[in-house]
Amino acid sequence: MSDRQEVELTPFERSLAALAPARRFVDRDRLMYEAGRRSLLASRSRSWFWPAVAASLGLVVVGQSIALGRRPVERIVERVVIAPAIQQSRPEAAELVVILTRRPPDPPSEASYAGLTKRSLRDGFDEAPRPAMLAAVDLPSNLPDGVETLTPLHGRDDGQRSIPGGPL
Amino acid sequence: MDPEAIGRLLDRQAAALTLFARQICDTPEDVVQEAFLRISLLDVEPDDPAGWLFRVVRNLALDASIAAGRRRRHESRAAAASPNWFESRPAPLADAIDPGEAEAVLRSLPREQREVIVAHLWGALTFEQIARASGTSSSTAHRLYARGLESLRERLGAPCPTGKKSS
Repeated sequence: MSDRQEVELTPFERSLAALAPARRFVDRDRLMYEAGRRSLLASRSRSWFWPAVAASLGLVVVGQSIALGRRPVERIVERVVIAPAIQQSRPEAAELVVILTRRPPDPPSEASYAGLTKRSLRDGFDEAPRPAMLAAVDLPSNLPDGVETLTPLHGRDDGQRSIPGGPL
Repeated sequence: MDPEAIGRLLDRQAAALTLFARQICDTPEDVVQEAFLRISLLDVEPDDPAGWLFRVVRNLALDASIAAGRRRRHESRAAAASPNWFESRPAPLADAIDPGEAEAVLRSLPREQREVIVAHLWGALTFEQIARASGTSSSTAHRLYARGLESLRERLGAPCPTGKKSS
């Protein structure tokens, strides 16, 4: 027994510990031989493991290198392909497009205010059209009651003529 | 592991390990040999070789007992079937315990108490090491040891100790 127990054990425990366990059942020589044999087997198995792994990986690398070297080169092949004509779309399927443009204004008519003003400025006031021109305008016959037709001043025979703008 | 270290462990612990394994299975020699073979294949020596051996021996003995399916029968009839647990003494001392009587009383104890007593007295393991080997706590191991030792003292007729040790 160890020194620790020799110090700490009680006398009864020391008496028990003094009994020697039977030791004739473990064969020391056989045990050491078996330990050496297993150690050798273990070292052999371990010595074969990594070389086997390295050899396998080496084979994989060689195979891939060969496959890479024999890979066919890519070629560009030009071919003429006749494609069928594209069908015209139906008219009803056409989209209706409306374009709005600004039309130039029509020239003023001779009887309009703008036309009279333009003519007066160009030809003078005396060349202004006679009221007959205005009278020639067709009036509707069915004028409502109370609406009278004005008589043009130029039609009077009093010899007076109005001067636009008043007396000077 | 170093063969010389294995040889030293074998000389110091083989008998106690065999006695320890005998508490669990009926093939203790094979179990102890297998444990030593396993420790010999380790690249690095364990921090606690004795505790490591006792733990491996216990696990192997439990496996052997379960595999054989004779664990209960072995525990009940181990005395009649197995050889002597202790070496006989040609001329026993007056105050020495008779090996055969000690063996018979030890056999009568529960297996858990026998494991702790054998590991502590003949394996020189501390209760912490025993706890790690058996998967229990050190207080449980100490309690099992105290109960078993008291039973041994009563059955062997040993006088009560005057002072209690503290291990």
